[in-house]
Amino acid sequence: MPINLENEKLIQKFLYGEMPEEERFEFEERFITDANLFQRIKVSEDELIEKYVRGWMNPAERSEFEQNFPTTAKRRERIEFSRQLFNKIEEQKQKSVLVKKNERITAEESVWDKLTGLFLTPKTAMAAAFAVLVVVFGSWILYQNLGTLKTEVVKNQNSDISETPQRTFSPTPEISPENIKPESENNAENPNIESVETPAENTNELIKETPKPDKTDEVIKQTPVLKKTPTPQTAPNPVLALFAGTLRSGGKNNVLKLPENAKGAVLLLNLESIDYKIYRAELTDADGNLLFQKDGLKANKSKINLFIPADKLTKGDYLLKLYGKNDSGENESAADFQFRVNR
Amino acid sequence: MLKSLSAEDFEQFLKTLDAEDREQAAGKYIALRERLEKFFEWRDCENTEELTDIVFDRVAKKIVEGEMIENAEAYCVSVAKFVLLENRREVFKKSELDENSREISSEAGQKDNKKNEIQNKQLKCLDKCMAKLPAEKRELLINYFDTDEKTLIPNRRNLAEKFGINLNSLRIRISRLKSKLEKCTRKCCEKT
Repeated sequence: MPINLENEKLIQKFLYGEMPEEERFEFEERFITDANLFQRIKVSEDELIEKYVRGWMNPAERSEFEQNFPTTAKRRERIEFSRQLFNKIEEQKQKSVLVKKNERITAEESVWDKLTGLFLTPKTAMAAAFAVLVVVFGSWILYQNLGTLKTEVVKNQNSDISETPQRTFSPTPEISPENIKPESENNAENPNIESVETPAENTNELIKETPKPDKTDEVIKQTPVLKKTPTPQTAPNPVLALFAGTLRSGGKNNVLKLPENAKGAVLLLNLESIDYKIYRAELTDADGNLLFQKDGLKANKSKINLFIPADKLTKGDYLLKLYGKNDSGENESAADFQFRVNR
Repeated sequence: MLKSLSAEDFEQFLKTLDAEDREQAAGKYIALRERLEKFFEWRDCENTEELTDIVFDRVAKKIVEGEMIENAEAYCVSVAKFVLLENRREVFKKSELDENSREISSEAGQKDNKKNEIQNKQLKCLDKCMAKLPAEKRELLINYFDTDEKTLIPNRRNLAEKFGINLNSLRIRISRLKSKLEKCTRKCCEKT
C-alpha cells in the first residue's frame, strides 16, 4: 500500500471507528495478513497521538480526536504515555547538553591529578603501588631479553654478511602482492643472490629471532624459500568502505577503483546500529536493474563485508540496498549506499 | 504462550505457520500475535491479550483435531471476528449488570491521589526503560522528536538521510522503538 494522503485519511477513518462495518472487516483482514499495511496503521496512530499531545491540531481536529480516539483505557494510556515520553525527551535533551558541558570541563583536568587521585584512599593506593611494581619489574625483564635478542640478531646478520659480502639491504616498507616481484626481476636487481646459498635452517632462525617485521621482510626478500612464493596473477581485490547516510553526496565521493585483473571488490558496509540479525544486499545499476544479490549477511560490530564479483561492476554508478530481516521473516529497508566504479 | 494447550499442540500450531523453520515460525507467531492484539484494541476491546489467547487456542485445537489449515493467518482473522462478537455480547451484558448495581463513587480526592501515584510510578519506569535503551537509539528518539510542527518534515527527512534510509523506514523504526519503550514501561509498572 503506497503512502499518500488518501491512504492516510482511510487509516484515520479506521482509527476513529468511522468505517462502515463491511469495509472495516475487509480492511482488518488486509492488515492482519499484510505486515506493511499494519506498520503503516501503527505509524499513523502514533503520529495522530503526537499531533494531539503536542498541540498541533486545530480545534476541529482536536475535538474530532477527543470524540473518537480515547475510547478505551488502553488508548488513554497510550496518549498519557506519549505525553510523558515527550516531556522525558525534552528533559533528556537538556541533560545531554549539560553532560557535554561537564565533559569539556572534566577533559581539562590533568592526567597527573587523576594519577595522584589513585593514591588518596588506602585500598586504591595499595593496588596502584602493586601495579607500579609489576610494570617496573616487567620492563626490567623485557629490557634484559631485548638486549640478548639484539646481540643474537646482529651476530646472525654478521655471519650472513660474511658469507655474502656483496649483498646490500634495501628498506622494504611492507609486504604486498605488488612488492613481491617476479623471480626474474628479483634476480635482475640482485644478481648475487642466486649464487648465494643461504641454509634454510639459518633463515628460519633469523625469522624467529628477528623481533621487528621490517627486518623479517629483509630476510624474506633475500632467501630462496620465498622465491617460491607464486606471483599473483590477479590484482588484489580493492576494499571500499561505505557509510549509511552518505547519500547526500550522491555517492560521488565513494569511488571504487577496480583494477582490470581484480576478481572483485569488497564493500565494507558501516551501519549506524545493528537492528537485524540477518541482512540481504541488492546491487542495482543507475537504471535500477538488479545486478547482484546476497542473502544471509550478518553484521559484526556494525559492519558487513560484502564481496561483489568484478563482472558485476563495470564503470558507472551503483546503488546498494541493504534490507534487514524482521521477526516475522520479512525484509525491511535498513540502509542504502551509493558508489561509483572506475575501471 | 497459549493458555490451555500442551507444548506439543503449540509446536503443531507453529508448524502450520512454517513447517520447515521453527525460528521463522516463532517469529511469525509473535508478529501475528501483535496484529491480533491490535485488531482487538482498535475494536475498543480492553482485554486484548486474553482475546488473542482465545483465538490461538481455538485455531490450535482445530489443527490438533486434524483440520487442514492452509493459511493460518487468514484462518486466525476469521476466528478473531467470532471472538470479537462474543466479547461484545459479554461486555454488553456486564455493562447492563453494572448499571443496575452502580454505587456512588467514593470521594474524588482519593481518585486524584491514586492517579498522581500511578503517574509518578509510570515516570520512574519510563526513566528506567529509557536508560536501558542503547545510547544510539536513545539519541535517535530524542533527535526524531526534537522538532516543531513547521520543521517536522524537513528535520525528519534529514535525519532519515543521515541514517541512509527513507523517511518511511525511519517512521516505522521510531514506531517500533516507541512500542518497545511502552511495553517495557507497562511491565515495569506491573512489577512495582
